[in-house]
Amino acid sequence: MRTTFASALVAVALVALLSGLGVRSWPLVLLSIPPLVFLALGSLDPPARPSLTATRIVSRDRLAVGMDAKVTLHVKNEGGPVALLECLDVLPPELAVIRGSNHTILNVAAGESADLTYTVRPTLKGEFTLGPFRARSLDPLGLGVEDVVVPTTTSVVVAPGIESLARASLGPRRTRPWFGHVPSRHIGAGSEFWGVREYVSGDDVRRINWKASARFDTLYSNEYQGERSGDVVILLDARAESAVGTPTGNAVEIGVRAALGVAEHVLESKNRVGLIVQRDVLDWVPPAFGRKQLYRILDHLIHVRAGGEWPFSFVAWVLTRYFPRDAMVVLITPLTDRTALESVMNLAARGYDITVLSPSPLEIERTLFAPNPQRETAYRILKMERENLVAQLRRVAQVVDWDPQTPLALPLRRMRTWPRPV
Amino acid sequence: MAETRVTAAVLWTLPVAAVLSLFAWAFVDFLGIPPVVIGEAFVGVLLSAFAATVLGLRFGRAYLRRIGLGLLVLTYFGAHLSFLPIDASASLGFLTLALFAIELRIVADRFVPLYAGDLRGEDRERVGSALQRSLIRVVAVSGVAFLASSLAADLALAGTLPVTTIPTALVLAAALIGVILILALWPVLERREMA
Repeated sequence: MRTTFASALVAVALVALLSGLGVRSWPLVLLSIPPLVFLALGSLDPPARPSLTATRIVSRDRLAVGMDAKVTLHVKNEGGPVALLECLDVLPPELAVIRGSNHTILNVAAGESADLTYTVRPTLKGEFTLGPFRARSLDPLGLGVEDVVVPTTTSVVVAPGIESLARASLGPRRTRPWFGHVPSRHIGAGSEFWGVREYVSGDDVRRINWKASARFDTLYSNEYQGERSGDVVILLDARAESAVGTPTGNAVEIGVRAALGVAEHVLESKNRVGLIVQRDVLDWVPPAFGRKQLYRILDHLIHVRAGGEWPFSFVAWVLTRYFPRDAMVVLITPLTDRTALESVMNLAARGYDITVLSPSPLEIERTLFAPNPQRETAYRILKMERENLVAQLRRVAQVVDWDPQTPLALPLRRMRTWPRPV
Repeated sequence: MAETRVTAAVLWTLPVAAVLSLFAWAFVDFLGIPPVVIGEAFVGVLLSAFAATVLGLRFGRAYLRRIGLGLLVLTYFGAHLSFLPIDASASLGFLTLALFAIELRIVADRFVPLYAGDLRGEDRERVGSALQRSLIRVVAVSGVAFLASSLAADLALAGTLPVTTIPTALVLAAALIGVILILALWPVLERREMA
């Protein structure tokens, strides 16, 4: 394929020749020679059409954000020799090359092979495709190129980072009959002392309260608080308007990290966890126990991208129809609109126990710009509006106003305990 | 790492230096334009070409660079057709230098991104040898273009070059054939050497 430069050379030569003949100027006619020499010498060795095969080996196909993977692309020339072969292994912009290069120029003989080795580091969660492999046989004078695309692709899955919620207290208060780690305010099997009653036949000897028995001269047994489990539904607001910040550090991505942290923390306490994501579609994972459920939730969260303009109230529709009524709802939203307030009040009116985790969009945006007096004034006004909204929400729910610069466990530990303040 | 950065900087500078020398050449030539309105218009167009080139280089806009170079070549030859005497050797030299600048730009566009990245070990050797081959070809072809057109000028009007016609013609023809042979056989010779 000839380039525009080759066409330009032809045009210059023609113009010089015709205008020289037109005005009968031999120096002008001579000016047509240099471009013609370039064209003639360039056509002596035109770029050969490459015939290539490529095999890609990735050191790991499941990654986490910030984790490195080594990629080796083995390229073999199945055709004739190619003097200048420009090679590019096409990568999505979310995978940053941190060592080596996915772009090079080779000189390959017939049957010769070469390796392209580089290391990538994902900056964003998601499922990404490496490839295809593109090669271009170049003419050194830039007069022609021959392109070839080898359709070899490799998929890698990048999991989001996870917020550590170690020692944070977040779990359902309403329990179900299954054993778990949540004190249930019912007598049952557990480790927390509840009370003492008279011994009845069949009681475990280890439960006899010997001090009380000695004092009252009759046998007494200890009773314990039953530890059960409950349901938690994580509700992630991933609408387009919630994506405040950069592509890698916006409120939706931060919310995904928080949702994963909450899911892991709550599942570890032997509770059931479900997930609803509001993005360009409404999708959900029904509540279930265990490690497998964490992987199901992780799989859903990997594919979350901000999008959609749904009103927030649609979530309530899904929640009331497909999820248990006595579940604890953890709503993760940056609270960018006031309709969130109405939706939370609506859910609270239906009897849901609601906790709002809100990554502050103000703090996210504040880190992106250099401070100046106007921005500082705007920040203070917006902060007052947000505090007002949070104060109204605190009438019906527990609210964690979270600066994403700090670990989520910190504001969760400071969260006020139930009963809610009047 | 520092060495690759230096190579990238040199590669980026070469076409810029070639274009700036073309502008200097044109400005020096234009000093001889008589003070008439149309002559000042040519100087104005030349200044616009210079401005477009500088803006194109400053903001990385290829189309501005192309417009600048196109205007420069048109203005130079327009002025020579209108006011200034036409010197065949100088005109051929100017046009060849303009084509050489474009070729250097093509080489720089291909290789600067590679050198600006992380280029190590075997990759660096491969890219270095490819760059060497490209530069040799560009220099050789530019030289041949100038010599071949000078030969034609010499034959057309004996005395373009300050030597007698027949020996110049013979030397230039031999040089032309030699360079064409080298260009054609270069890849074959190189592969044999590597084997």
